[in-house]
Amino acid sequence: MSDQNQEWKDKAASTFSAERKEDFVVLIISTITVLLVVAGIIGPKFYKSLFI
Amino acid sequence: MAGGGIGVDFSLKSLPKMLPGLLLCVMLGWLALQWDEMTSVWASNQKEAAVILKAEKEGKPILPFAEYMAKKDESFKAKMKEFEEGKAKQKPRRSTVLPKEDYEQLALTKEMPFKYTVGERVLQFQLTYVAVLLLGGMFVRNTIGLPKIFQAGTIAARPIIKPGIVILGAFYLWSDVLKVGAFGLALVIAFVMGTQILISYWGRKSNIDDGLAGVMGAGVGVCGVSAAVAAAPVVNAKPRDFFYAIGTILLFGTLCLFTFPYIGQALGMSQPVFGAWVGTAILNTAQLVAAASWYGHEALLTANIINIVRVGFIPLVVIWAIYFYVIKPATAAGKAAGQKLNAWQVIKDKFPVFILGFFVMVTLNEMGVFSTEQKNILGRELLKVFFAIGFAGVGLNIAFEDLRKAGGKAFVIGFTAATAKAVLAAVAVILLGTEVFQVKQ
Repeated sequence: MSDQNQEWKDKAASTFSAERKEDFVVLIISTITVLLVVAGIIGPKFYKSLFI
Repeated sequence: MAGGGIGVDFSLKSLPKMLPGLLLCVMLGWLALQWDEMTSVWASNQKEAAVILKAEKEGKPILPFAEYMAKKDESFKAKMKEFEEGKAKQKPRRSTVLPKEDYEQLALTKEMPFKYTVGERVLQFQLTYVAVLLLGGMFVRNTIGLPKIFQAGTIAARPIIKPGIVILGAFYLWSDVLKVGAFGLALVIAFVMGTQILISYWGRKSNIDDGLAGVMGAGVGVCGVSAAVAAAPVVNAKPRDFFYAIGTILLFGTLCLFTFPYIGQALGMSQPVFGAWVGTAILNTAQLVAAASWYGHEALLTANIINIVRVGFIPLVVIWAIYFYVIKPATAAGKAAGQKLNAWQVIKDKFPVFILGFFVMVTLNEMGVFSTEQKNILGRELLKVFFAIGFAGVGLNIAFEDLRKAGGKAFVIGFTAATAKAVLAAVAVILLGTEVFQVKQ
């Protein structure tokens, strides 16, 4: 039982460490996106340019 | 499952493995957006064509195309003049103008072009990019299958929904977040935490393993897979119970995702009410964001706030599990020493930090950093791009073999509790009404 519990603890720890890392990647992507829009690099024509 | 996954290792080392699947999701997302744009143009053209045909039936002749264009232009200029003179508050938009080819066909046949009828039906049945990606992805995954080369990347695509959730913050003012958030908090405490507490006591009364009840309570109560993973070591879950619980959570979430938008329509739920319902009743972020986007942008604005409140509760789920399954029994047995709860440590470890980005966006909007145009680019256009890539990953990862893992006592408890939560939450949000959950845009 204690081995199994340790296994779960490791799994939970690795999951939450990966989620934390994932969250930081999300924050970086969001920041870059906002900066591009505020700086005008991504403007009103960008989305329309994605369509054929 | 804070973002539809349980932690994707975004490192340069794993990038080559993820790249094929990520590119596949980008491509599918792009194709689905093409479909969305094309059908929404058809749908608005259908309305314009219907007006022309109605007028024709009432005896007004269909004008030649050049005259039709000139009349549209004239009407726009008149409205613009009114706006410039301060007689109209809102800047006018150019109204729908049919393409020359379609207009001339309409004038000739006096019949609605077929593609416009298709556009109208797509809108009526809500077959937007969300539905295309989820249904299409699920179909591909369960028929021809997903080659191994794409698997890591399609899983990694799911959290790409999260930047969409963050940048959507550009649409809110703190007053809205606090108003809807306060009701969201009440719903989360009543239904989400309530479900976990109910399952804990129900499990104890029915002599069900703590492991099973604990994992199921956390998963069904709050946030799907990641809450279940967090609770598993606390409650000494057995692997079989854990996988039963995960299967049940996935099965319930998938059923909700595909049925809730239609149930919402059948019950006549407004968009904010629907958003509040899915925010409370659906078990994970990716699925609830998909269901809300499926219903409409206003539904998404409300669901997003409730989801932020809900995922913020993950640390509290673990704290409850530690209290109920570890500290309480130890205290009852007179063994309180050695069983200490470090609540701050749990909050620090488990708090989903990406939601802080959402709060920063709301603050920036409150400070007037974004123009209306920039808000639309962020919260409507780029949001769709992020969501389309993420939903492609979600659809391609709905595997029937995973859903079949649902079973045993966990299935009965989890499914009953989750269904009861969904029904009661529907009644509560309908009674509270649209005004309470409306986010001003």
